[in-house]
Amino acid sequence: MAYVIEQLINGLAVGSVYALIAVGYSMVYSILYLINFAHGDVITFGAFTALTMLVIGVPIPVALFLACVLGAALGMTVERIAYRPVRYANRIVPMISALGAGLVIASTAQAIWGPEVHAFPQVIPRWSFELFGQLIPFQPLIIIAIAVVLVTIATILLDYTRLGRATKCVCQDIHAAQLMGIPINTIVPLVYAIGGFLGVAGAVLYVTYFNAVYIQMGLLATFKAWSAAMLGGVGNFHGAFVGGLLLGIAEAFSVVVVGSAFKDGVSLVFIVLILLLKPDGLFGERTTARS
Amino acid sequence: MSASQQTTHAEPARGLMERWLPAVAAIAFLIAFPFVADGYLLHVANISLIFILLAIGQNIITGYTGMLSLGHAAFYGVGAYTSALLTLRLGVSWPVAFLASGVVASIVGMLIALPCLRVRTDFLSLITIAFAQMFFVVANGWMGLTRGPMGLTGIPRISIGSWVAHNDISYYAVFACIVVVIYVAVQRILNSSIGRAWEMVRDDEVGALSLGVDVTYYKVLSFGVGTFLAGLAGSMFAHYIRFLSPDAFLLLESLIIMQMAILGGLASLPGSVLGAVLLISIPEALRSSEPLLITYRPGLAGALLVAMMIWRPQGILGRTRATPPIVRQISDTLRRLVGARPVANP
Repeated sequence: MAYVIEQLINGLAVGSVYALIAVGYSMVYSILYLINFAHGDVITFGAFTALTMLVIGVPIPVALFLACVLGAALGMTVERIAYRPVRYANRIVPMISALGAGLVIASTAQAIWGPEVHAFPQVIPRWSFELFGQLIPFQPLIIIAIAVVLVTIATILLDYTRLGRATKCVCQDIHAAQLMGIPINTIVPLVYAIGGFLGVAGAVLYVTYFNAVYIQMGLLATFKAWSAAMLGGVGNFHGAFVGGLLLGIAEAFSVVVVGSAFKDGVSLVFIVLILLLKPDGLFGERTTARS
Repeated sequence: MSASQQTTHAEPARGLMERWLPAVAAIAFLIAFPFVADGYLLHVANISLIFILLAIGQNIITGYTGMLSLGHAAFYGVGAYTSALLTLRLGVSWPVAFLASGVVASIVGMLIALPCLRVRTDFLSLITIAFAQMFFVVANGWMGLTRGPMGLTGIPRISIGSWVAHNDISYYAVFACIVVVIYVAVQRILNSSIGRAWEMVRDDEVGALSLGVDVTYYKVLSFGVGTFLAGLAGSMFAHYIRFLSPDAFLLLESLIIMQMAILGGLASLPGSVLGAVLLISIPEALRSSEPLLITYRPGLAGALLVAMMIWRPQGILGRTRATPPIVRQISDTLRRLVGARPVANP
């Protein structure tokens, strides 16, 4: 029982991190039908920047916030340089452009920080406390709390402000939104900024939790985040969050059932099952193919 | 190239001479090459021939049908291991193993792609990356079958009946024949109703559906043909290098194949050939002098991809109306040299 509770908490923590990263993919896809391959590299870059700032002694909250802001800025830059010029081309064109942008960012990160695995300092202390005779770790709870707060802020931003409503219009039909006077060249970068900000926050929490940061992390994060997003229904902000939690829990328990070697396979199994059984996700609305 | 494009581009009528000259020139070059090249150049040529097959396969999937597959190297690996294991463990002769590797890679590919192509083709990229990772884990971990990271050694040379390819020139002869046959066959397929259906699926899926084109069928077919070619290339590689280890088939390799298809021109067969030859020979030429360039190759290639997508998504050999005159002249000259027809803007 104690083990089950521990795994549950760990799963929720990892899952909420996936959810934060998934937002960047899910929102971009729902607007432009573009798989933003650069996102994984953007957030890895952000995590490395946080590492450098922590090493040179910037206070922890400031360093983390600056890293997130950098992630937002990087997301917007990539959009401006690599995606906007090809926004309305055949869908394969922006995706290849995204791949290219991701390679450039990853290569730059490798030039700066090198290809080896770096240890990440303990930003959140690893205390634990006792509750009903149960040893509860402190770090996962903080991670869950931070994720919930960030997602709540993003939800308020998207559901209750003018900006958020404009974003939803653009999601539904980008051309009509433009005709209605919504400045899509402000809204689309904004979406990338939100995705980059939350993504770097997620990446920093992820590397704190696993205590390691490395270049290829972006690719793994891409998968986990995508399967979370698809589980919840792509384009569905809250669905992605629930999807992330489900994936995290499933991974935590798969370690118990089939061993840690196959933990990373869980996300793939989820993607395939969702595609086979319910392609619109657990909470997604039925959508028709767009060309 | 679809019929409509040929009419819209208003190409001047092509005489018999103009039509066959590039083919004759290409064959003549292929025959003359081993007489002038030394051993090293011949090796580079053999590797290029293998990658030409890979680039053509990728181009069928990505350029002609508009599906982003990022696991081409894994299907190449499936072919390589199939062929190597069949000949090593079961003593199957090479021509049989060669075809079997294509068939196995193609079946695996279609099974992987089917759930995705039925509903959301965009996610093919994710599924194929995931497959590539899984392939690596299995090839690396299943010690009993693949000997894991130690690799498979002692793979027999290519042999047809009692004839054995004992040096690079014999390999070159076999590879060149295979590539020519495949090139012609693929061109025939692309000019048939299948090729037109592929391009229609790429350009307007809903439109294709409304005209009664079975979109899923053609997508799966395209993926099957593309991975079939990757499997064949894998078999060629396995029996040429005669050593296989799982790290020859990583994501980076898939990206390089993708770059070949894009650089030469999506939806252009001569483009795939050009892309493969360029991306094999340029790094070979630079290998000794510029180690930095090799280290940062992914980044440079990435920048190249972005730039190509923005300014020249149709690749070196394609052309559009918006192309600046000087570029048009260069690409026209190039096209004439390799005998390409006008290329659809993907």
